[in-house]
Amino acid sequence: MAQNEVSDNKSSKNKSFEEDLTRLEEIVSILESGEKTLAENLKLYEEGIRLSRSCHKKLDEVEGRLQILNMEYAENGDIQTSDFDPEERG
Amino acid sequence: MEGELSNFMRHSSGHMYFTIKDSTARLKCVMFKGHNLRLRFRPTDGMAVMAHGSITIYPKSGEYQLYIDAMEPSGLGSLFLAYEQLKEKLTVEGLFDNSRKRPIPEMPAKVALITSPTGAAVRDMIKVLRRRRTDVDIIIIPAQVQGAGAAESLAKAVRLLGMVGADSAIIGRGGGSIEELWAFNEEVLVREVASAPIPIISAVGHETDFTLTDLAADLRAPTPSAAAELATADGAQFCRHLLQLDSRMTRTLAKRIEQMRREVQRLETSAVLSRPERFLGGRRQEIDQLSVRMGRAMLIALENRKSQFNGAIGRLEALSPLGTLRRGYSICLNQQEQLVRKASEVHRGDAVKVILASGRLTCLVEDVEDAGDAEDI
Repeated sequence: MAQNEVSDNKSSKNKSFEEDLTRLEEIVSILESGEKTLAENLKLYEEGIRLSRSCHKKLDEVEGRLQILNMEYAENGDIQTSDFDPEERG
Repeated sequence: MEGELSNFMRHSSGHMYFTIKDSTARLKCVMFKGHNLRLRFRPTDGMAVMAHGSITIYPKSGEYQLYIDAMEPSGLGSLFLAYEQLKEKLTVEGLFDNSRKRPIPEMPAKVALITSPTGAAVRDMIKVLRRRRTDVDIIIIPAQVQGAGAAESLAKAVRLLGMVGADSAIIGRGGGSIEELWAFNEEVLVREVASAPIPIISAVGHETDFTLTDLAADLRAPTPSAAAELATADGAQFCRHLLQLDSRMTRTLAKRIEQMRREVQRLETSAVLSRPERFLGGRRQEIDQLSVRMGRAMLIALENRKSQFNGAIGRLEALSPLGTLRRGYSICLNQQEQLVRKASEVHRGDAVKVILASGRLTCLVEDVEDAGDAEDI
């Protein structure tokens, strides 16, 4: 049984928030320094807006998942999760 | 024998004297320096110990005494001893070094919680995580957090961290007694935490002492809720930061474009570009003036050359013998082709040549009239 289908490897699929933010700060700093040609500035601006939109989109996503790992399957190397309801239990 | 230590005294000689008692009896003890140097703990009053030795009678008082040759703390005491020994061993190995600790990701996409699936701790962590980030994924890796087998259960959970796709993890439980938390001091778990594949925050709810898991983790939090605060930045704050960056970018670019626009405008309205003919007209005039001056200068130069030339020609002609000849004079040469200046240089009957302006004559001298040194005739 393959891993990851159910475990939703979100972190490795997209670049992390931290990486996006670092690049964005870099872009703003270059734009504010006044270096580079207008054409280059426009290109950087485009990239910056794209990054920012992607971060906003990820943040505004409907509620992140709350899951619990099935330990029996996990022991056999099979990663299976199910929805977790904290209220249900003791 | 086992009992509680009391009346402890260490003599200047290095020998130790104390009493071991329990609910029914008490026995005076001596532990001589040679033996007590090997003790792996500091005996204090009230400590529960297990001692080995031989019974003697102290003649002076007639009392029984125990000559102790080996002693260990018992019960809780032995737990602490094991803790100290393990802590030292792992410290020497470098497991707790600050240099091994990784930074905790500020905006993880997914956080793993190693804890009991029941109880307040897990609910608290979920609540705090959700309050800070509505978007973060949470995965619970359930484990037994106290009692027999807890250490192994927790260790197993840590081993699975590499497979669930989380960016960071929290391992923890709520408060409890020292015995209840003891799993977090067990070697098997501590080693797993030290070599966890992702950054891990430890929250073993114990106010004062740290468990060895706390020391091995990348970060320690005093409670599970505090751990959840540390596990992620606030999403709304991150969002505001992004908006700030957006606005800076946009303002900076707009300013730049405006600057360029004004520059272009300035150039457009400048005299050169808007009324080029005015600019050119002046230039054309300049060119004309210059060419006139140049023409005049050349003529003057030419005139100068001409008069210089004519002057030279004149002087040349004046000096030239041809000029003389043209004026009617002639040149007389003797037979040796030498110039004849004085009549005395020739005699009657000599042959002389006469050179005229045009042509030459060959003559015979008929008569010679010597005028002496007169300058001219």
